[in-house]
Amino acid sequence: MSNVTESQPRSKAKALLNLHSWSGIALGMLLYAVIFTGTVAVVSDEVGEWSNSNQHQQLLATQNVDEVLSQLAAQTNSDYLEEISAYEDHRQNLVFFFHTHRQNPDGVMDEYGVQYKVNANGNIVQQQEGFGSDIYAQDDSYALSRFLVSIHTELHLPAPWGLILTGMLGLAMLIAAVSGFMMHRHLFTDLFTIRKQRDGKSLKRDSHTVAGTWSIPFAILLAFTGSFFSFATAFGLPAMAIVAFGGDQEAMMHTLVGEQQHKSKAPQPSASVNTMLSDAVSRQSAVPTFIAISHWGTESASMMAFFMPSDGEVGFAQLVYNATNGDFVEFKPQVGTVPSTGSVIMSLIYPVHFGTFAGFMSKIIWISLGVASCYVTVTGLQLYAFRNEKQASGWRWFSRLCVWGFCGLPLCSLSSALAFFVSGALVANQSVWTPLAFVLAAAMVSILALTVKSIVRLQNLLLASNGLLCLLLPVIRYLTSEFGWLQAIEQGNVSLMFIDAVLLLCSGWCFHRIYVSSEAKQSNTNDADAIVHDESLNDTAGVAK
Amino acid sequence: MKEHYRVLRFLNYPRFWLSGPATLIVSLVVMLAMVAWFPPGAGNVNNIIMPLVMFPLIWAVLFFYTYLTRHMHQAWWILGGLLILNSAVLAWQFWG
Repeated sequence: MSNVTESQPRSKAKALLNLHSWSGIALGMLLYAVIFTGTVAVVSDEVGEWSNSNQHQQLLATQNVDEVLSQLAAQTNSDYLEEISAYEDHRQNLVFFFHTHRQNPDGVMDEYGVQYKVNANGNIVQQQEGFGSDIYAQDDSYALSRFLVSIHTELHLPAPWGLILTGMLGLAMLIAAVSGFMMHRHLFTDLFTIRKQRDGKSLKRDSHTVAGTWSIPFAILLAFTGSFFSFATAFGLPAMAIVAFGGDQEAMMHTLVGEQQHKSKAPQPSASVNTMLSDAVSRQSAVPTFIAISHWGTESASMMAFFMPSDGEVGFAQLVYNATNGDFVEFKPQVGTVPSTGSVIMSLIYPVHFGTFAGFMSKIIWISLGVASCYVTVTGLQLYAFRNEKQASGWRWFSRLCVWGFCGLPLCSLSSALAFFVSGALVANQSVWTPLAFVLAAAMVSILALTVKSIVRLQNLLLASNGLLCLLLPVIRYLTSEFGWLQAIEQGNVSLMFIDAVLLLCSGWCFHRIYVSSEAKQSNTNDADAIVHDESLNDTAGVAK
Repeated sequence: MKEHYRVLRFLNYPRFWLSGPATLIVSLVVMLAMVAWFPPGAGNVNNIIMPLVMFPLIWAVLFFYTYLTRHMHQAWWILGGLLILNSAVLAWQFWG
C-alpha cells in the first residue's frame, strides 16, 4: 500500500513533465513566433508612430471636424451616410470613412464606402472606395505595424486557419504554463535559484525555470485571453450567431453593439460635431481615439466617442451623444445597452492582453514579461536539443532549427522595417514591400541555415546581421524623415525615442553575445591546447622513464 | 519504417483520444449549449459573451482532469454525460 501511495506522486510528476515538454516541443517554434511578435504588438501604436516619425497632433480636438464632415457628406453617396468613422492616422491626416454594411467576397459582414484622408489644411489628399478591410490592408502608413501585428494574430495564414492555429498555440501555452506551475515542488526557491556549472556558467535548466516561474501568471493570463481572441473571432461568434440568432450575424452584432436594427431615416439637421467632441474631451480629459457617427442628417443620428483607458481606468470608455441636439446620452457599456458582467469582462480582456491598462508603464512591464516568455521558449527548446544531441548526434538538426527560428525571426522582422523605410523613400508601395522583404529575408536565413556548417558560426552570423540592422534602422529612419532626437525631445515624442533606444540596446546585446561566444571559443581552444600540452609532457616523461 | 510507427504510437493510447479530440468536442458543445442555459442577464449578452470567454477555461479544466486522472472510465462517463446533456439542450434550442 505504501508503495502505491509513493509511486502516485512520482507518476503524476512524470506525466506533467511529459505534457510540459511535448506541448513546448510540438508547437514551441510557432509559439516563439507568436510571443515574439506579440511582444512587438504591445507597442504597435508606438511602432506606427516611429515608422512614420510622427506624433499624434490630436486633430479631432484641434480641427474644425464639423465643417470638413459637412463638406464631405455633401459630395458622398447618401447610402454611405449610414455610418461615418473618423480618426487621426500616423501621417497627420484626419481619416473619414463614410460607409454602409454589406458582405464582402469572403462572405463576412464588412464596411463598404468611401474613405477620405484630409490634411491639416482641410484638403483631401486621398480618396478611395471599397470594403473597409481592403482599404485598411492597403494603407501604407500602417504597413509595418499592421504586418507585425498580423503575424501575431494569424501568422499570415488565410482566415480562419491562422486564427485557429494561434488559438491552438494559446491553448498549448496554457498547457505548458499550468503544467510548469504544477510541476514545481519549491515554488519560492525556484524564483531565485540559479546554480553554477563546473565552468562557472549558469545551469541552463535553472535559467529556464527561474524565467518560467516569474512569467507563469503572465503566461497563463496571455494564453487564456489570446486563445479567447482567436477562437471567438474564428468560429465562436459565427457559431453563437447560429445558435442564438438562427445564423443572423447582423442581428447578433446589433445585440452586442447595442443598436436598434431599424431606425428612422426621416431627414433632420444634425448637431455640431465640434460641440459634442469638446464635451467628450472635457468629460474624459483626453482626445478620443476615434468617433463613429450613425445616420448623419436623420432624426436617428447619434455619435459615439471611443477612448483608450485613461489614467486610473483599466477599460475603454465609450461616450454616446444624441447627434440631433448634441446632448450627452450615456457612458455606453462595451457590449450591449446596459451594464453587464459580459460587458465588464470584454472591456478588461483587451487592455489585459495588450498591456494598455496603465499607459506606457504597463506596456514596458508587458514587454519585459514578453521577453521573459520568449527566453523561456528559447531555453526550453535549447534544453531539449542539448539533451538529445548528447545522446545522438542525429539531433543536431534540431539545434540548427532553433538558431534558424530564434535568430531568423527578429532578422526578418527588422528586414521588413528596413524595406518599409526604403520603399517609402523610393515612393514605392510600402504595403507590398514590407511583407515581401520579410519573405526574402526568410529565404536568405533558410539558405544560410542549410549551407553554413558550424552552428556557432551560423548563430554569430545571424546575430551580427540583427545587430547591424538594429543599429542601422534608427539612422535610416532619421535619413528618410529628417526627424531627429532633438525634435523628438522638443515635441515630447516618447514613442520615437523609445523604439530607437530599444533598437540600439538590442544591437549592443547582439554584439555582446558574439563577443561572449568568441571568448568562450577562445577559452575552449586554450583548454584543449593545455590538455594536448599536458598529454605530450606525460608522453615525453613516459618515454624518458 | 519502424521509427515512423514509433512516432505515431500515441494514436494507440486511449488517453490521447480522451484528452484530445473527446475533450475538444465536449468543450465546444458545452460552449454552444451555454447560449441556452447560461443566464442572459439584464443586458441580454451574458449568454453570448460568457461561453466565448469561458471556452479556453472549460477546455483546460477538462483537459487536465482527463490527462491526470487515474480513473479513465469515470472520465469517459463524465465527458459522455456532459456531451449528452448539452447536446439535448442544443437540440431543444433548435427544434424545441
